[in-house]
Amino acid sequence: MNELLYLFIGFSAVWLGIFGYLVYVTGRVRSVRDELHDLRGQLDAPQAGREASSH
Amino acid sequence: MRQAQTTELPRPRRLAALREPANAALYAALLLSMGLALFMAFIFAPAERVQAEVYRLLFVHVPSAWLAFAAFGVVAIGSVMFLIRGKSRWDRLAHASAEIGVLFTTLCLVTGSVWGRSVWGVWWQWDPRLTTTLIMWFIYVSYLALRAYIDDPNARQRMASVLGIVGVVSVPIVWFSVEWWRSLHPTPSVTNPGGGMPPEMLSALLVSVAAFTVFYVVLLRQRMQLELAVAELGSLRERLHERNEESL
Repeated sequence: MNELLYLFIGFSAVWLGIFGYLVYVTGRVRSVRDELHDLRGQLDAPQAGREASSH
Repeated sequence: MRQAQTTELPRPRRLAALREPANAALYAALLLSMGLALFMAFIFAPAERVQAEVYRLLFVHVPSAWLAFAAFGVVAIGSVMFLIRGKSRWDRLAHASAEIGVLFTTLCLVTGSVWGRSVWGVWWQWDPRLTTTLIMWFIYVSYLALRAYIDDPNARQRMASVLGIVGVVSVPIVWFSVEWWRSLHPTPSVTNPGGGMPPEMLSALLVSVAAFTVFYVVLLRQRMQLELAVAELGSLRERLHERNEESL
């Protein structure tokens, strides 16, 4: 029984670790792209960009 | 937040056309190989005579170790190419691969520890293989810490490249540690002729290594996309800042 528990812990750690990292990196990519979208919007609209960045 | 490199930004429109089908193919390959690897590990491969079921940890422990070695090899290649060519994309490749290498090394240490608890009765032994692996892990965690704490992009890239090249020396040390010193850790049974691994176990292990390799490629692509997006973000912030300065 203990053997199966160790097997479960080992496999869970690996799959959670890899998928967790994939989800984390994908989330970071998405949030940086959102920020990029906002900044591009500010650069495209000069006046609005100045107002937003002055806050 | 630190300003990222502003040079060599990607050409997103040209790449975007290729990205979607390539991503779909990669994720399909990932799901298929993962499913096959789990089937091979739990159903196809028979139980081991002495260790019974717990030996199946081998099917995640060994691929984690091999992919960590490969990832650190890519760090070294990226670092050498950066120092020769001076292109930031090589440095970004090295950075992305180092982070994934640290992840795989961590998983290797964790699964090894769980296996050790079951077979040796202890979570950790100051055995040559375990100790050298831990030292390798510290070297690449230091590499990531170095990158995080140096603000000047040029200094950061150069120093990280040097560490990325020096650090790869730890890979053969870890590999040969079981031959150079007396070790509790099992000696390699795949690369040694007559290693004694039955064909069913060997094929399950190779499929598992293939699945982890696909995982590495998927993770590296995602991590590289993050590096590129962060670089572009830095560039846009600089432009916005310059424009605001001009308007004042």
